[in-house]
Parts: sequence; C-alpha cells; structure tokens
Amino acid sequence: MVVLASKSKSVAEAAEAAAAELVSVRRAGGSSFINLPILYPDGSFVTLKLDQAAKGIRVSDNGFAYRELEAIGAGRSFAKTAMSVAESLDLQADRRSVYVDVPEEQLVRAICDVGIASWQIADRVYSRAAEEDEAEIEDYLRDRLTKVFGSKLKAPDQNKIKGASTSEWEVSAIVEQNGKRTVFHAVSNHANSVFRTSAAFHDLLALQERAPNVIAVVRSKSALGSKFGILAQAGKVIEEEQPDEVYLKAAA
Amino acid sequence: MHPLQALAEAEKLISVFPGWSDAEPETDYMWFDAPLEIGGVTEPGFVLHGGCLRYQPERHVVFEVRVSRTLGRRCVPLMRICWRSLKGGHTNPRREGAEFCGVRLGSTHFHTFDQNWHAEGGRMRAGNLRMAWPIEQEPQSFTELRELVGKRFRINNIDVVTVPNWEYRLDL
Repeated sequence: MVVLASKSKSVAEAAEAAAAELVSVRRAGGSSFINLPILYPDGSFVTLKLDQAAKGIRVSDNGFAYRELEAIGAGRSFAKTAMSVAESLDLQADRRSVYVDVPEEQLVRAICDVGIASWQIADRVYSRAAEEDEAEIEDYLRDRLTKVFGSKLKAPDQNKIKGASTSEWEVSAIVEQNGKRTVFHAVSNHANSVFRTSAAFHDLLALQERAPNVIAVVRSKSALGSKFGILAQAGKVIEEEQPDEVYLKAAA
Repeated sequence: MHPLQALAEAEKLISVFPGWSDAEPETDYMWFDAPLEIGGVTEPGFVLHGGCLRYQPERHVVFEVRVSRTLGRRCVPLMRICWRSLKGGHTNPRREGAEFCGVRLGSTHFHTFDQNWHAEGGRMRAGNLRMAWPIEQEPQSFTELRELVGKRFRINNIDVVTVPNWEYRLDL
C-alpha cells in the first residue's frame, strides 16, 4: 500500500510537471509566442505568434510550417496546401503563413485551429514527398524489370489487378510467365506506402488458387524498421538493387 | 564514402556571401543562401542557409547546410544549428538506445549529420533532421554563434557572414 501510494503520488507529480511543460508562452520582440504540444518534422514544437490586430488579436504560425517545407525544397507547395487546410478550418493563408484575426473570447479556439493547420500543412507536404520517393523507386523498378523479364512484363496501362474484395489495385508492374502472374510494387519507407501495399497484397492473396505472386520492392529492408514486418507478412520483399537472380527467384 | 557524407565531412569555404535578405513581409524572416565550395570548386546546389527574424535580435537564429538533389528542386538538409529558438526547444523521437531520445532539449541545439544519417539506407533519416544534440555552452552573441557554426560545419571562412540588420521593438 505504501509503495502504491508513493508511486501514485509520484505519477501525479510527473503528470502535473509534464502538463505544465506542454504549452508555454513567452514575450519577445513585441510579440507573444506560444509553443503547442505537437511537433513539426524537425522535432520542434508548433509555435504561434500573437499580435494586436485591427479586429482583435492575430494568431499566426509566422511561417514556421513554410520553413519546414522550404528546408526540403518544397516551399512552392505551401500556398496550395495552406489554402485547402485554411479553408477547412475557417482561417486565412498568404504565401508564407496561416493565420486568423479574432476577438479575445475566441482566442483559445483560434490557437487550436491555427496550430493544427500549421501542423497539417507540414505533414501533408512531407507525406507527399515520401510518395515521390515511391515514384522514384517505381521508375527504377520498371527499367530493371524490362531488363530481367523482357516481353513478359505487361505494358504500364495493364498495371491494374482486382483482389478478392473486387477492389481494383494499381500496382507498379505485372509480369506474366508460365501462366502465372507476379505483381511487383514499389514501396517507400513512409507508413502510408507500407500500409497501402499490405492491404493490396492481402486482398490479392485472398484470391487463393488464383492469387498472383506478390513482391514488394524497397530501397532498404533495414531502413523500414518495424514496418518491414508488416510488409513481410503480406508478401515477398526484395531490395531494388539486388541482382537479377533475386528478381527471377522471387517471381518463380 | 557516400557523396552526402563527403559533403558533410569536407573542409568548406563560402564562395560568396550574398548578404542577408530584406525581411519577408508576411513573416519578418531574413535569410541568405551562400554557395559552398570544396577544394576551390563550388558544388552545385550546396549552400549554407542562414535565417533569423527581423524583430528578434540575438535569438531565433538558424544555420543549416543543405544540398539540392536536383537544382532548384528537392533539397536535403545535412546539419543545422538552432540558437535560442522560439519554437520551444527540440525533442528527439523515443528511439530506444539513441542518446537524448524522447527528452526535451533546450532552445540551442545541434542537428548533427551523423545522428541523422542512415548508414545502411545510404540516405538521411526521414523528417527534417529530426535528431539533435544539446549544445552545452550556449553562445552568448551572434559572433560566438558564428564561430561555433564555422567549427562544427567545417566552414573555414564563416566570418564573412555579417551580423543581421535586426530591429529592436519594445516588449509592451
């Protein structure tokens, strides 16, 4: 009992201390800056700047999401993404920032909305960048498969295949040899890419005796971390730069 | 050695310091991208980026070494130093065994190349240099920061970077 009581007290103290750290505010250079408990891709906290405005208080992300995009050369993606996110949350966006002017009684909600918007903008663009990685692997894969399988590789406009659910899946490539189909699909390290591939492969394997071979092609198995297990449960996994024999063996 | 590792580890020089930009009207951000050279050759798309806010003198300064994969398009940040950041410090992912994993670092920290390099994958880790080390002795001025950046990034003429034209505003 004593131990439990002591632990309980300690957890309570830890919880209070952590909660007190989750949101912080400081005044600097004539503006107030609020740090929120959500993280940008660089590991810093989503931060908002508050200033006096004609119609109350301006809550702005001060371009912090834009800077995240600019760091990976995706600054040009900001305007379009910000406009879409801002519209859904009834905010405004310019070329570099997302913001809203509100009376003081709406400040809490405005801080939540602008904070979420800033995070979403960065997250969406970073997710898309991961999909571009998938496209790069796909380009490479197409060249390799042409070299390895020649005329057995189906044309790109025939890269759709139905699973047991009757859902149609678009895959990177399909090879047909000895009456058997083999599906190759390029997978990036991003979770969405892994989950989508896993769902497609499970649906295709559910075709049972009509199921094709399914092969995920990745840059590096080890770079996938724990997500490798999810892919490996669904099908064979090879690395894009492995020798031709590995491609042939996987498709056999 | 992978080309990105070679860029990170090389002794570098700033080819030309272009000066700090005017403050962006939307964000007050002032910045520069200075081309970097190695052994007398300016590497394409390889720059030192510097950034700060017009009304935040002696705080919220960032220096970052970046390289463009394709000129004018995708960029890969290689290392970064944040000084007195207003963004609440930094947290590393809770990766077991990694140093400073899951803890909150202060507002001055160093996103090193080695921490963010995925050796087996031959690439930078996902995210935007999401791993960092604390900097124990915080630089006390922009000049001290500049010296630290020169040492850690191996940029031997870092003193060509001028002090930004900050403006002072009262905290009312």
